[in-house]
Amino acid sequence: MKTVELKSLVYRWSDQSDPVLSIDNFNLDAGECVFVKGPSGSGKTTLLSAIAGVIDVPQGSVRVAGSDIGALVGGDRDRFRVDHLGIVFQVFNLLPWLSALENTLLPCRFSARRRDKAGSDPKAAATRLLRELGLEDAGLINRPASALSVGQQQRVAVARALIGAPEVVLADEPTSALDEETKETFVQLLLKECRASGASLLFVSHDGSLERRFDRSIELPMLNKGNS
Amino acid sequence: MFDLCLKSLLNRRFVAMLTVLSIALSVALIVGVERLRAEARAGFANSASGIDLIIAARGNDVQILMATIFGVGSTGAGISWDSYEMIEELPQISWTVPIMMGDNHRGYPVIGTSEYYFEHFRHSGGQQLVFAEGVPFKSPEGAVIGAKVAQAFGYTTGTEIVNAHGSGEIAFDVHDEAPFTVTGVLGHTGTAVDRMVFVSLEGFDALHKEPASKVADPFVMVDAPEAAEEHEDHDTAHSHKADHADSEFTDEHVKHGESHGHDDDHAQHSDPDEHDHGGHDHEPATINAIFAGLEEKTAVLSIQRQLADHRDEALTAVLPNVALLQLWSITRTAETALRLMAGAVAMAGIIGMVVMLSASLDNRRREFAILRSVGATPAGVFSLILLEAVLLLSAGIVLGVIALSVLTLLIDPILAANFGLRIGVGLPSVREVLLIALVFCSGLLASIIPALRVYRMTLSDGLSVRL
Ligand SMILES: Nc1ncnc2c1ncn2[C@@H]1O[C@H](COP(=O)(O)OP(=O)(O)OP(=O)(O)O)[C@@H](O)[C@H]1O
Ligand SMILES: [Mg+2]
Repeated sequence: MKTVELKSLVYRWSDQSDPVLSIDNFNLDAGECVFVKGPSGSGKTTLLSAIAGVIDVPQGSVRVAGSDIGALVGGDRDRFRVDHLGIVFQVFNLLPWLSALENTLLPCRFSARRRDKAGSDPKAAATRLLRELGLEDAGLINRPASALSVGQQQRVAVARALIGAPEVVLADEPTSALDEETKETFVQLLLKECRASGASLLFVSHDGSLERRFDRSIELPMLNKGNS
Repeated sequence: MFDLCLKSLLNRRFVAMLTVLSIALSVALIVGVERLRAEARAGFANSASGIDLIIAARGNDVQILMATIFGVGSTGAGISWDSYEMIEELPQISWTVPIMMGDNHRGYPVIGTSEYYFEHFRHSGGQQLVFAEGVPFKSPEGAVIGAKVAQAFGYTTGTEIVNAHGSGEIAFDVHDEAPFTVTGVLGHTGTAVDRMVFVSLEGFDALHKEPASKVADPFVMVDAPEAAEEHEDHDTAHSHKADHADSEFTDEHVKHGESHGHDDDHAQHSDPDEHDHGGHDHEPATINAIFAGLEEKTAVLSIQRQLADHRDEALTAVLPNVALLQLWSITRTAETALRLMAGAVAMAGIIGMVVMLSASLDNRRREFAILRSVGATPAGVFSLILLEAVLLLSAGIVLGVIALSVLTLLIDPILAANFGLRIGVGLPSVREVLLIALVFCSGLLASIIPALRVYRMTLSDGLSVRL
């Protein structure tokens, strides 16, 4: 089963003549953890946006969990995104005035599917996820997220991406604000939790040192025949 | 979504509070102005009911109305007792009540009148005056006081009170020598009657009759009834026949609104025994005005014509309702100005809110990107901003209405004492509710601007925040 299928995906920003993305074929299998690397400006973030349904892609070019993203319109894409995808950003993943726990539970607010999959008690599921990610202190997870360190914030973001077991987790350079040691443990935790929940992971980074922990690694410029 | 919105607002509580405050202020102002205006009108209209005509020396209708009904200012010259008797005998007239004014008791106007006043005066849609305690005055020493007067000084029946000259808070000289005894206290009416002191015509005269020497006014002289012609002389104040050399000084006095006088000389009265009018055992030389009731309302024109033909004295017959309309036309400009100002403040409040919402948007792009990554649609983010506006507006309106209620509770006694106005803390009227709704809707409408901006921003930003 493939969770992400890209077929003849061509995308160019409206003010550009050359397409940023021009991908013939790319598949992400269920439960597969893939490392995506490429120089700055090569279109890594654009690729994730295409998969997340944030940018308009041609019909039939992007399928996630069996659905054609390009065929979804308006709010359907947003609902689809929260139903099937978990997203971790580079920095500032959390709403600072919500607690770590509330931030983790955000997808359950917007998606009945995620809420149902999180079990009878989403709160307990969130607490368990946070504990597994090293945030066990009850005081800590109930404090506003602005009181957390950057490393802790990124771990809360992982918990949020994984709650309710979405098919795919997209992570856009989530380690760039972390120091070497934290980075290692963070990636280990991320991979462990993705495997535990069976989610596929698309991890974007230009830090090649993390590459070896993944099932597979791709270079975007290689994939992107339009750029090469 | 609601608690997300609330928490996000709380995160910006300082600016949000300021916004709520400015909305509250504009709501309080706009509703307050409306309430004041409506109450003033209602209060004024109530005060004049029951009286078909007010007759006074020729003068401005509104001025006569203000002086006689509301105890503010004074009428022009006095009118002679002869004229009173002439009017009383007109066939179209069913009743008359003489009015003498120009004195005050500790800042409250003193009215010299007959006990028929209490019978004929109507207020608040035709209600008669009722005595909370006591009875009308029977003797020249008796006085009847309005509810506010009784409340202000703790007077009850039997209290002895002393009058002072002049209208206004400052007494020019105190008439210790002419004390009155309160015989009755009127029930609350919500009109100017509440702050009036009523004495008999004789009692009113007694205030001034006594020693002319004590009155520190060199010009007080004989006041002949026929002295009242068309001249700017004030009240029955200083004799028109005063030395011409002094007339300048007299005018000066007049301008200051000082209305000394009523030093009528009873010996001078043409013929006190000639007429016999049951109730009026005392006949002052001049009075200030006459309240009259008509046999038929349609008789107004013929009366006005007859008064115009009256050769001895120039008289005006004022229709209270017509004079009220004139009053409105005078106050309309001021009202409009006030309402425009209140509207401008409300607009400033709303603009303040839009500025606050718009200014925060750039700082909140991150927030919107996160919300979108967890499934919020652009429409959802759009409604988030509108929801914020709703919260701010509602909080502002609630706070404004509460503030206004507290404020009215505080200033109600002051307004009532000084202007006979009672605002009261009732439920908001339909007009007020409409005004509040107008503020709310225009606020909501205005907040569509930042909401639309967010909508477009989230669409183009997607999940990443662009610079
Ligand atoms: N919203 C946008 N509008 C127009 N052009 C854009 C937009 N976002 C990205 N681009 C362009 O697309 C190209 C790829 O950008 P993208 O952000 O995908 O690169 P990236 O690989 O993520 O780079 P980095 O490693 O620096 O994050 C760039 O040339 C950029 O100018
Ligand atoms: Mg990028």
